[in-house]
Amino acid sequence: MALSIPKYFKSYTFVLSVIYAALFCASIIVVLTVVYFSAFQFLRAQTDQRIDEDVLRIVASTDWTNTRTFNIRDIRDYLSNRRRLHPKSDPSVYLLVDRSQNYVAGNLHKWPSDLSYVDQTRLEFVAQVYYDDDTRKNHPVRAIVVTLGNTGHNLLVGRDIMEIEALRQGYLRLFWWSIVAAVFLAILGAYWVSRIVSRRLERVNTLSRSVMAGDLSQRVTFNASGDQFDDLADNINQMLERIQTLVEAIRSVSDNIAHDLRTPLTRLRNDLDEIARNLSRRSEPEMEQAKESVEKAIFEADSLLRTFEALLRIARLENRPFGDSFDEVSVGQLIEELIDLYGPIADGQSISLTSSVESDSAVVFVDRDALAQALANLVDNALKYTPQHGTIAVEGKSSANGFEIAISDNGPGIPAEYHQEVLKRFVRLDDSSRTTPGNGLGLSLVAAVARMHNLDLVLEDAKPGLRVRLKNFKLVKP
Amino acid sequence: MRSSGQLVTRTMLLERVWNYNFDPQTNVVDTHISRLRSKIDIPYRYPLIHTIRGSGYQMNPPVEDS
Repeated sequence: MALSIPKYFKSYTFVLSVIYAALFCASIIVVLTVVYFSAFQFLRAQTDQRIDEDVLRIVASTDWTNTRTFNIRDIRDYLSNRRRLHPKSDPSVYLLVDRSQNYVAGNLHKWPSDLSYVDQTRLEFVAQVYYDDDTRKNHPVRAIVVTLGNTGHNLLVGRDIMEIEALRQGYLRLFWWSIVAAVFLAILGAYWVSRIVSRRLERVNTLSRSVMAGDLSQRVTFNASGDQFDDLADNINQMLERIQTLVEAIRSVSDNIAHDLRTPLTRLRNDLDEIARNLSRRSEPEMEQAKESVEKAIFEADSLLRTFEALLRIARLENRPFGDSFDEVSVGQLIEELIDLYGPIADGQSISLTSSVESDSAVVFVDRDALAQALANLVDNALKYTPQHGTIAVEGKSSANGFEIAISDNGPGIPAEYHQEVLKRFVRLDDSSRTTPGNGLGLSLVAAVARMHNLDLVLEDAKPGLRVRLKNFKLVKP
Repeated sequence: MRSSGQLVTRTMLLERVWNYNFDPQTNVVDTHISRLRSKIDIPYRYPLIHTIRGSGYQMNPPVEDS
């Protein structure tokens, strides 16, 4: 675990989360900044308004409206009174200085050294404010300069903004801390998210590694919460399932090929061996024997070739994409031709081969050669296993899901537990492989044709005998 | 008659007579040929259809040996 932690920081999810977190922090900063400026703008405006009201009150203490001159004594008295009457909590600050900047009245004792005397200048500074109990404190002050007309006196009217300043400091502290907290939470969140994602991806990676190592039986575990990761896991599992089936099919086919071809190849070899021995004797009867062995060898070689031919045909059918070689084919005609081809053989074995097609004009969209081959294989099989005086019936009829073709015989049938098994390549039931010819590929081809046409291939007990049904043909014309 | 004197394989017969492009597992073609033979060869003196072992059939005009 300790080693894999840096991986989370490198991961794509982590990068995405960090970008997301950065945007999140940026928007927090924007919001806090806007709040800061608008709030303090408002507080400053409010302070200025109070100051202006104060100025008006002070000016109103002298009879300015009539005389257009300021009576300094009135103002001084008013200010002194106010200082005496107002409690410590009054945040008003004022200072009256005369022409030569000497203190006249107010709770500031000195004009701040770096301030001008220009009329109506608003300014902020830190100064010692005196209180009625003669204590003094350095406080921030916001004030306005008022020049009292012709008297040459200057008046400074302001307010102690200690509280606003404290608020501003508090707000700024909050500002920085929230950014620090946001960044911290964002990184934590990014790490957490990427860890969850990485952990779930890691399951897929672990599985991939075990598949790469050759183990196809592993599956991705998932939460069944139906999210995208579960979809991915589910798809991977299904893909593996399919691959595993295919690999096992290929494996069993190659095993079977090796197994099934060994016998004819051995026989072929023995025949050739005998030919060689007989030829070396150079006498008439041995030559006859050699000729016979050559024929046997040719027969073996032919049967080998037929097996390969059948395998190749199945492979070709399986690789043919749906619909490529398809054509509109009349079911009635197809079955009629089939009966035409196999009728004489059934006759020869005293088997009755009958056909019935429900709708003569039924037309399906199929690969004619492939379907004919499949039906021929089924009739072939039926002929092989049906005893003398048996019956074989080929039927075409409509069913719930389209059209179906069924071939039934009253031979020995196939036990239900082998119905799937016999569709596999080279699988032949034990008792039949000794008594009847065949390579075990006939039904595999039928299965391949069914797959190629998206048909359902069903083997049933015909009681007695076997019924093979090819279901779900899509009718072009009913 | 068209392929007189030529070798005709079982696959060719299936393709041309039944329009099937496949290889049946059993000897369907052989059965048909033997039925044909019973109709056109057996009753007469000279066989028309000759089996070429392992490959197919050949149709030869009867040799006149007057």
